[in-house]
Order: sequence, then structure tokens, then C-alpha cells
Amino acid sequence: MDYKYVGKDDVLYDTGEKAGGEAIYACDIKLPRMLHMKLISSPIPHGIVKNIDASEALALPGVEAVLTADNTPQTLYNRARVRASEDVPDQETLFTNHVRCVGDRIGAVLAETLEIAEKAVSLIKLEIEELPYVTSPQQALFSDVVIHEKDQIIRPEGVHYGDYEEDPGLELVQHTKTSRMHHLAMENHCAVASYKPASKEMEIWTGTQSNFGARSVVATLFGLDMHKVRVYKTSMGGSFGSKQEMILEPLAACGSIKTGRPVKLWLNRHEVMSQTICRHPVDAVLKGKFTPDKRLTAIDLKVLLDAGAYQTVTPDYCGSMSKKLSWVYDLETVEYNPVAVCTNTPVTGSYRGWGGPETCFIMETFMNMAARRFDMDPIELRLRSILKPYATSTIGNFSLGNLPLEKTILKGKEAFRWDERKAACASQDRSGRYVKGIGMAIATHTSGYYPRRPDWGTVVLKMEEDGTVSANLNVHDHGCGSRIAMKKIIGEVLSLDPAKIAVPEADTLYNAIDNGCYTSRSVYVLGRAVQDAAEELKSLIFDYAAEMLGCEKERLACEDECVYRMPLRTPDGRGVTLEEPIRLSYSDIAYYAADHGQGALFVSHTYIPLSNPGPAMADFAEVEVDTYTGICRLTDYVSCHDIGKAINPEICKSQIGSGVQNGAGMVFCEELKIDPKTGFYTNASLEKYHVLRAPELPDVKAIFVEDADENGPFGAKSIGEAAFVPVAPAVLEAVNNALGAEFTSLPVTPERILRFLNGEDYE
Amino acid sequence: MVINFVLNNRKVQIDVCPARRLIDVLREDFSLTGAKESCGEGECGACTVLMDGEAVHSCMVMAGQLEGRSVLTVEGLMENGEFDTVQKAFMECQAIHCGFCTAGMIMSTKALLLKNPDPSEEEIRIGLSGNICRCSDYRQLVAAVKLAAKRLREGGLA
Repeated sequence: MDYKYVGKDDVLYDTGEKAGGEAIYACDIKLPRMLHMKLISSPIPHGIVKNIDASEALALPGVEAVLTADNTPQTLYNRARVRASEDVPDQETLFTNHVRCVGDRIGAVLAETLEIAEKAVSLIKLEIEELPYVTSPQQALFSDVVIHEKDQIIRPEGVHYGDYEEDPGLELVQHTKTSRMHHLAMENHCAVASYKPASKEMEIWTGTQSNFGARSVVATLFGLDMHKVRVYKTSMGGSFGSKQEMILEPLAACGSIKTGRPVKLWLNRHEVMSQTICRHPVDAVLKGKFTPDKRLTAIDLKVLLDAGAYQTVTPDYCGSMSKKLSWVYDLETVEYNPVAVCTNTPVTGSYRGWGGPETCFIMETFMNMAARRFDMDPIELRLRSILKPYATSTIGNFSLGNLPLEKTILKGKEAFRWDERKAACASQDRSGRYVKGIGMAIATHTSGYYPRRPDWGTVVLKMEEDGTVSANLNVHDHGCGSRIAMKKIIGEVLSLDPAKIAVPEADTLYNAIDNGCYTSRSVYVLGRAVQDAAEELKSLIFDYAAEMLGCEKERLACEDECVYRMPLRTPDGRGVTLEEPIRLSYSDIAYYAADHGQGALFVSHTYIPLSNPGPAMADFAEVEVDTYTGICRLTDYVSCHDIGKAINPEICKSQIGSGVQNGAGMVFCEELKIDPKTGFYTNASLEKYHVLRAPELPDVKAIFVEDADENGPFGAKSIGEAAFVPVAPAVLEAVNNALGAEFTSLPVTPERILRFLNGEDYE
Repeated sequence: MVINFVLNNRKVQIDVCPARRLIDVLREDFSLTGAKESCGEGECGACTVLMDGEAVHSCMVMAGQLEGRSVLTVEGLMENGEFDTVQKAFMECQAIHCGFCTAGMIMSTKALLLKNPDPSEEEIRIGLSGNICRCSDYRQLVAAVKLAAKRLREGGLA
């Protein structure tokens, strides 16, 4: 179906404030009397702080206060708790004397400038008793090192249906490993907090994925009334999951409460890399069984996740990985046993896809290996086992929606010219310097929380006197166009130029409580709420228009920001009467409502989703390997994505491109390396942490399957996280295909490729 | 140390420590927050500004180097309320996503097109290799540079 605004790229994306340098990110905020906070971090992986001598620091002009565990609340909390009612392990305090990793927070200095705060931190003398430490989960499982008295090792329930041992199929086994990665949102984390002691009001500005989550953590920790804690979501310079946990907000809030002055805490890149979160390294052993006709029917998966120094989201992450096990293949038996282990390394946590990319990497690398073992085309192997449209997820027992996996795979296959390239790769001259390979992977993902936890979207819409519209909803735009998507949805319903619609960022004072921008739910859940609310607003507008025009409401239609009374049909239904159509502008109606009606053209609406379709994805990669240097180059990439309906097509394409950048980086180079001797990174800077840049990426071809979902706004499903999910296994398979290798752990660095080419051990 | 330089086409004077970084001079002393700090070591390009027409990482330039120079930031591009050609091309090609790299990308593009008004795709990708965008595969950015280059050539203005 063709729409006026939805799915159109000619509607100018409203980025003027960013083009002009006017957009305000948290780091741009400067308040009167504002102090700067600098964290005092542990230099060792495990120990007990015996003494902190801050006398020289406090003597430095411009230093306002030094915070430590001894003068701040020692309440245990979980940085990932979005609502106080959530059951998650509490292990963290604002500042600690028991440091559990390099970078753990011992305290903070508050000073007039960041330079003074930095200088003061360097003057603080720490006396720390060193404790034994562990830097890998394998080591931690068999160690006496006590990092936490409780929940140091968590074995979440997992999934158990069917009896794997009883399945008579042919078994294959594979061990895969993914690495610790940095999100590299371009904006470093920043929170500004301003507490007013007289009124007991707290304001916080932050680029967060959940301002209600930030409010909840801060209000609970400091015993503040929630209505007096106002959290503004500022412009956000990317997140990819890194800003969905409440890491800085409680610290800045603590500083502001302690001093009665506004406090800014803005980390530098090194601190973001080492003191926020990174992607979990996952060690997985997958066993799978196939029928004689090569249908995958049973899996047994054991995963070990390194939580880092605190569990935070890791047990939940294990659960999220499990859900995604039953959304691609029609499995009769799933045995899934995860273990989440704390180590004396920086904390791991939320990262784009929430276990989906890990599950997909494990499953798809396995399927690619199976295709080799069976000497089958990997596409053919998958087509035998994939779920059919409207399949039910065995885990969670809900419909996966129209799920056009086969269609998506075949469309992508054709666009990639799979058969032709496969033949070319098979027959290439392998004696030269460069060899090419191809690979593919498939996946699905979520479009919301349903049915795992209650979900909803609450929206208020009002029409102003001039016919423009303002929305109030808890939207957190990461920079991927969620706000313009909302505008287009409203604009489409009302036939109103999206430029005349305001959709501000989330603000706890005005928005109804919301689950935040998690699980790629924004467009599917909030977008649908917005669509329904716009329909309600339209109905209200029509009520007044019918009164003004003295006609039945059913005769009204809107177009180009006006309401029309449609001509009556002649009794035979073929022609129209000669009656002139009459037009009212939205502004006419808004004034009429104010002058003669109930005042405001205003609606509020709550939408409760009872569906969660899995968008289907099929990705295809071509890689060229330089056998002299071991350097791999991604030479072509096709991503076929069942999006239901692309509301902002070009932005959706950039999301896919970003997923490819991140996923190919995951295969080629992206890894935060831990030195086992120090428990700390050897490469916590952008000089040493390499990501794929403009010259290293091909023009990614994003193709959409747009079979509308029944409940998404205009049929839309999710894209943000999904775009990243299948990339790494597709790219890895292309490397394996080029070399005839079987790499199963990431990243596949040039050194490892050269080791393979030299016939050495490369895993 | 008193330093005189030109900032966004106006003469300015500051009394500043010569080791102060240009990014801090811009963001803190002049409240020009368009240039962003991300890596702080000249790797990511988010803080790119023009100094005498050359793209520089403002986190790597010291205030002491500014005497007599001319610095242009993203805030200095609009004229009479109109976006300049590169800004317009970025918006039209939907090359702006989270926006944190945008100012640096725009300024790097300005510098590239001043030197090479008709860059090839490869030259554009190399030209942007000092600027990281994490929100895309650079496709829209490359398209924006091409569009800006074409319009500048047609308009004869840099």
C-alpha cells in the first residue's frame, strides 16, 4: 500500500538542529554553579581499600568535596533495575571499599572544573590490600576467590523441553566463543544532576534509554519522592545498549545531593570502555541432532557468560538468549543451560540484540558447519528446518506472526546471486594472493516485550489552534529516527505534514510510565499507540467538523490538513450529486472547539500489545582474504529484512549498515582484550580498539520484505537490534569459505589467519 | 597568554593557558558545543573543525597554536539563517542519525571539497576515514559528500 508519509524518503528527516550544531546532548549542558565529577577508580582487579588520604586533594583550590564509600549511602542496588519491583540481584554500591575490578568506583572528586577534579584525583593516596583475583569465567568456576558473598555464580533456569538424549538423530557438536566488545556509541556517557535541597527536587539530564529507569534507581537510592525527580532524556549520540543501564545518573545525583549544587559527570572514552559496560564474552558448546533427511530437531546448548565484576543484567541476558532459541528453527527438543559468572574484570551488560546476536552466532555457525559436514548448500539445509509463517514460539507460547523466513531467504539469495557466486568461489584460482568466500546466516528477533513482561504504550495527542499537533509519549530516540517515525505515523493518519507535529524526547514529569526503549519496541508498541491515538484525535476532529458542517460524521474525510464533506453518491451509487464539497481547515476546527466546544482537541490512549512478531532476516556476505597479510575485507553484503513496513526506509537502511559495521567488526577486529596479569584491558582507547571505517566497508545492500504485520503501525516490525543479529555468523562463514577453514571463535584476526595458513593451531 | 584569532569569521581575543586544548576553548570558553569530544586522542573525528581551511582535530590543537589563525566550526556555516551546501546535502541524503559525529563529518567534508572538488567514491571514503560514524555503513555520508561536491561545482562556491 502506498502512503503519503510512511515509507517515503522525500519527507525531510528533521535533522537541522544536528546539522547546525544546535542539538543539546547531556555533555553540552552547563548549569550555574555546576560542579564537575571525576571518579576515583581502582587500579587493581581485586582488593580492600584500607585507607583513602584525600587531604591534599581537598586542599586544592576549587575542590568542593571527595565522596567515598564512607560518606555516601551503601545501599546495594542493581544498575539495570527499571522499576523498583523488579527482581534482580543487588550487588553494587555507589562507591565501594571492596574493589572487584580495575576501574571499580572507590569514590569521586567534585570540583569547579574538570581539570581541577582530575588533578585532585591524582593527589589522592589509596592504600589497598590486594586480594587474589580471577579474570576468566572458566577460572572463576573452580576458584576460591570470593568476589561476592551472594550470587557470584548464577545458574538461571534455562529451557528444558523434549528429551535430548532420547532423540535418535545424527549428532554434531561445536564449541564457539564470542568476544568482549565495546559499543562505541560516539557520545560518551554523561549525566547532569541538579538537586535543590530546599524543595527536595531533583532534575537529571541524560542520554538514557529509560528515563523512568533512571528515576526509579535515583529515587529509591536516595529516598526521594518520584514526582520530585524529573529526568529529561537529552539528544543521544548513539547507545547500542550502552545507555540502557543506570550507571552515571545515581552517581551524579549523589554528588548533587551531597553538595547542593548541580553536578556533571562526563566520562572520557577510556572510562566509558572500562567503567560502563561491554558485550559479554560467551563460551558456548552446542550439540544438535539431525534427522536422516537433515532436519535439525534437537539442540543441547551450554553457555558460560562472563558477567564481569557484578552480575547486573547477566542472568536476564541468559534468559533473553533462551527465548531466541525457538524463533528460527522448528525444534522439538531444546535443552539450554546457562551459567553467569562474576570475574574480576570490567562489567559486561546490555548490548544491541540482548543475547540475540550471541544465540544467532552459535546456531548459525553450527548450521554452516553442518552444511559442510553434510556437503549441502547452507541455504538448502536451513530451508528444511525453518519455522513456517504463524508458527508458535515453543518458549513463551505465542505466535511469531507472519514470519516470512523462506521468502526472506530466497529474496536475499537472489539479490546476492548466491548460486553464481558460490560457483565462482568454488572454481577460483586459489594460488593467488587473494581468495574470496561467501557465507550466509538467518535470524529473527523481537518487536517488543510480549509475553515476557506486561507492555503498553501511553500517548497523549493534542491539536493546537493553528492545526499543528503535539504528542506526549515516552520515546527515547537513539538517533535512529524513532521520533520522525512517530511523526510520520501521526501525519499519515491525519494527512498532516510531519513537520507540523512535535514529538519531544522523553520527560518523566509529563509522560506516563513506560518500559523504556528496550527490545526494539519503540515503533512496534509506541508507534501503534501513536497510530491509535491519532485515529482517536481524528475522530474527535470529525465530531466537531460534522457539527460545523451539519452532516453525518461518516461523510467526512481528511486530506492535506483539512476535513472535507464528501459529496453524496447518487442512489445508483455510480455518480455524485452536484453538491459542492465543503472544506474546513484543522485550524478552523480547533478554534471552533475552543470557542464552542469542550476547549481542547485532546486525546489520551493506551495500547496494550498482545503480539510480538519476529522479523525474519537473511544476510549474505562476501569476503576477500589477503593470504599474504591475513587481512580480511568485506567486499559485498546483502541483508534481506522482513520489516513489515519501513516507516523511514533510508534510516532503516542505515540501521542495517550500522549492524553490518558492528557485526563485521565483531568478526575481524573488535575485541576488548583482557590481560590476565592485570585483569584489565590492553586496548581501552580508540587508538587500539579498531572498528571498520568508511574505506573498509562496502555499500551494504538492504532489501526489505514488506508483508504487513497485523498489529504493527502500518504493518511495521522492529529493526534496530535485528539489523545486527545475523551479521557476524554470515561474515565468519565467508571467511571460512574463502580459506576452507573452520574458525569458531571471534575475532578472526590477521594473526590467526596467518597461523591457519601456516598450518598452525588457529583456535 | 593573550591570543588573537578569528573564530567563525569574527576576531576574538582570549587570555588562556597555551596548553589548553582547542576543543575546550570552543566548548567551554565560547560555548560552541557543536564540535564534540569522543575519543580525546585524534582518532574519531567528532571534534573536527577547520583551521585556515584545513581539517584539524580540535582535541589535538593547543590554544597556543591559534595566534593569527582562522577557526571555523559548524556553528559558523549558516548564513542569513540558511544552511550551507554541505549541511543541506547531509540533511537531504539522510546522512545524520545520532548526530554526534555530524559536525566533524561536515567539517571534514568541507576540508575535503576545498582540496578536491570532484572526489571519487574511493577518495571520499578515504577522506572520511578519520571520522567514525557508528550509526551506518557510511553509505548516506558518501552520498551526501557526492551531492555537496556536485552542487558546489555547479555553483562554483566552496
